Amino acid sequence: MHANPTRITLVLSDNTAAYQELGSEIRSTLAKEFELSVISVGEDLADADLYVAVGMKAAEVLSLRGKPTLNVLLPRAGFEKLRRVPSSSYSAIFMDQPVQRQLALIASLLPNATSIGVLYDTLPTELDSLRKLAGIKHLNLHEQQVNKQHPLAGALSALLQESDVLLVLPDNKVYRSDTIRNILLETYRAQVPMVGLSANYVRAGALCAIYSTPQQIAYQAAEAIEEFAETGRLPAPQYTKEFEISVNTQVARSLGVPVKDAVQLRVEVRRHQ
Amino acid sequence: MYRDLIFIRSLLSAVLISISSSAFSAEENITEQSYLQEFPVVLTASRLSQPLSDSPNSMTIIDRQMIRSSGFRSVVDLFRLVPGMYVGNAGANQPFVSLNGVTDQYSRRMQVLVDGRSVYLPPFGGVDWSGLPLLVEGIERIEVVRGPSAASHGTNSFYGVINIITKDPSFLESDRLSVSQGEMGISNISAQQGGAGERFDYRLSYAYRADDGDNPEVLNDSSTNRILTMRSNFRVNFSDTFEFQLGLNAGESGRGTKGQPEKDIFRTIESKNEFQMVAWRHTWDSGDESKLSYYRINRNSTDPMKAVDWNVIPTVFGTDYSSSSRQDIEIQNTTQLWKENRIVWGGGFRYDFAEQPLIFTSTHSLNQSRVFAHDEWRPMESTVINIGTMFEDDGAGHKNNSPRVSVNYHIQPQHTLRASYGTATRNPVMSEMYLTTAANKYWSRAYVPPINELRPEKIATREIGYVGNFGQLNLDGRIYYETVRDIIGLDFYADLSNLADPKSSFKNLTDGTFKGVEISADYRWESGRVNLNYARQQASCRFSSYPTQYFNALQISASQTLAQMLGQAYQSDYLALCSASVPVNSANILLSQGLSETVDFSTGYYFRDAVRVTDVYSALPAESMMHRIDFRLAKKFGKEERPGGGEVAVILQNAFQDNYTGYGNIAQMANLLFKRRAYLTANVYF
Repeated sequence: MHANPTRITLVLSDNTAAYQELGSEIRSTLAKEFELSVISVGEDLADADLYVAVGMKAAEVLSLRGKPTLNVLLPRAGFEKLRRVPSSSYSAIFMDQPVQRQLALIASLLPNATSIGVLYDTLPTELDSLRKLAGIKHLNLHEQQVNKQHPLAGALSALLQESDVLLVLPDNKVYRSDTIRNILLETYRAQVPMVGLSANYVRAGALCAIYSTPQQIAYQAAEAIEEFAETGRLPAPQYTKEFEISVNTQVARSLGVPVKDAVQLRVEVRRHQ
Repeated sequence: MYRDLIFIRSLLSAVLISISSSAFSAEENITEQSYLQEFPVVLTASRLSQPLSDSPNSMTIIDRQMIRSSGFRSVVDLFRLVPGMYVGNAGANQPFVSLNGVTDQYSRRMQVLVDGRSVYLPPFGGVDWSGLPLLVEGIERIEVVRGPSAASHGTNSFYGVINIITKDPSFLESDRLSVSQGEMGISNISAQQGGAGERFDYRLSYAYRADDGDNPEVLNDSSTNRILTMRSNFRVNFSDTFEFQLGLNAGESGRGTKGQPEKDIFRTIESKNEFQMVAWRHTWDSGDESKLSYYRINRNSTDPMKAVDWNVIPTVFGTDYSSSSRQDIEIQNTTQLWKENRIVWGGGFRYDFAEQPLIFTSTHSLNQSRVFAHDEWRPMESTVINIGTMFEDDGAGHKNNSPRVSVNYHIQPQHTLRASYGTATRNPVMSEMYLTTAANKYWSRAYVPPINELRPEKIATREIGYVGNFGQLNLDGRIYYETVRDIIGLDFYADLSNLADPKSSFKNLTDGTFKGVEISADYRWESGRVNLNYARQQASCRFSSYPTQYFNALQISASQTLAQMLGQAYQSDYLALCSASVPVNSANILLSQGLSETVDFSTGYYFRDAVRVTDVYSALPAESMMHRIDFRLAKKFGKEERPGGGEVAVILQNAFQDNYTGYGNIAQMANLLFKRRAYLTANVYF
């Protein structure tokens, strides 16, 4: 135990609910002996033993500072884009899910799905590992790019014709609040289920999604912070260990997908991945 | 017309662009935003169709692929793909349909919905199919509920429900131009243009549809229709959406029978059908949904040369003007009571109006009101219980309750057994309650309003059904036993005071029992699909209240045989007509097969035993057995339904010239045939 409490500064990318929520989850999960301050990007960075960057914007600011930093609430691709070599004082907990987990979820819920469709505008960084894994699991991966020659409507209907499931890879030019409606209606019309990125996708009409909750991320962040306080070293960059699965049972029933309980699915995904 | 379309197109495009111009921002792709993004609820409870295995009724779904493969160019023909469904023609421009049970050419015992609008109209309670502002090309899907379903589909869901769903403008569809040309004067042109944006979607359709009819030399049954429809969505925010629909069908249809210049001269009727509809959908934070909708339907027609008196020579002709309208407002809520229990509930008011001076002494209107609730409860994953009812007041003194309950048990996830008990009510329509005409002044027969007040007809159906899935094969079957009380029929001698001048009116005359078996199978493979239906049915009736003059020795028709006269004398014709009103066996097969990447072939076989609709009296021949075969061959180019894509198809109907006869309630119509015909269609998307 340190004589002086370890000083932690949480830097939130902005003040909206998602960041605030993660901030307060970390605060309530951490043991009392930490001196914790929470600021937003743009505010003065007070001196601290460890910075926790919440979100991409905060990560970008802190990556230039050379201080010990734990990055949370950012996707792996975002962390890699920062081009700062991970070390014992620079690490991350990714908010996205490893491709294995996604495919394990599809295998559990849609055992007959052999063709997986992905739609993107910008080449997703996940695609390489997805291609490899699909090859190993004998799945057909159909990739369809959206561009001037292939606008969303044509690209999507061509993709849906050959896919058993549409797997969402993060792309905020394709999946936006103003396009999600057309995309979901078209998938439902083609009777092709969508696997989304978050509970919001499931609420909108995706069949299911696998994701980590703020509590799960906060718990793992707190563990890393405690490890840093004890040993002076952060664990290597990692995905979250815990995850949540949401299934839209109404959509499942309407598509004729046998409904499975989320708890049962989690057990199966753990076993498969 | 085209100039108008182009103008509307540019106007709407401008609106669309201004609304969605802010959509693309140059945001960096790799951030956490993709995971935090909020979305509206798109697949709301009311958008998600209940799977057949959870449905309280047997249902047939006619999808876009089946519509295309069938080659049919009229909506009514599509119902040949429904097991046990009767499709008849009182002339090619006056088609009518009914499901297992007593009907006449004013088929009025089904609920018919187009995007939620109830389109059977007063005063006769039937559907003017060729006058509907509806394009076959604009149909997304048709659901035909086989059996009473008042709890979920409203008033008049008696023998069943036809639920036509048109394409939502939010679907990402290319603009389309279609042309059909063929024998028997077949000539269609239709165009569709639309756009789907962030907040506003629209689809405009225009169609011109014409043909010379089936037997123009005997029956003047040609028709020409011009149809314009508009459907649009406007999303105010994540939870509120407005939907607007407009439609217009201006038609000219022939009337007249050869050799009857005194009663039914060759002439052309002009008619106009229009509707407007607005609906507001609100999604609550819980995911529950409310929908408030209002629509107005207006139909009028003018017959310029109706024979209005052929007691005198020469016949007096007059103008037969008719107008009917409906306004309806409804609120419907979908509420998730708890995880495994969902209820759809609400209520509505309807105003029906009809005017036709030649057959009614005054205009008539009815104010109806209704409340309904339908609960879907899943006590176990393997069991679904649907329970519901509708309570209505028809505005003519009848209050009805129409409950339904069903239990679906999934023996395995892919195999379901269903037991259901459903009821519905059919309220008397205006023509049954108020017809008033003298003999040979509109019809040969004279009509007076009922002597005894009419009671609503009541139906109760008991059914055992099975829904199964074996990979690419879907099976559906049911056995049913239906009883109908107080069927309203014609009482030929209602007014005994003057037998020299007999008068008819409507009366609750018979109780019916309908039994049957229906089987459907749908099998798909990589390059093709086959859809098969078979129905066997039986109808029988008995008097629930006797005709006013039970014994009747007067001759109805000069061509009657002695046996027919005796049958009629004891009024047994009523009962004989009832049991002949359904075909014992009927079946159809629709097969489609891709012959190559770009060539599609399909064929339809339609079989039906002889049948006699109840207003075809025994003196006239019944409709003969039908074995009809249609072919369709299509060559596709470009990408399916995408810009630059399209197809050219040739369709051959009744390819082997099966000489089946159609509906005919007069001698001249008795032996008319459906002649083989071919036509070409071309679709281009851009």
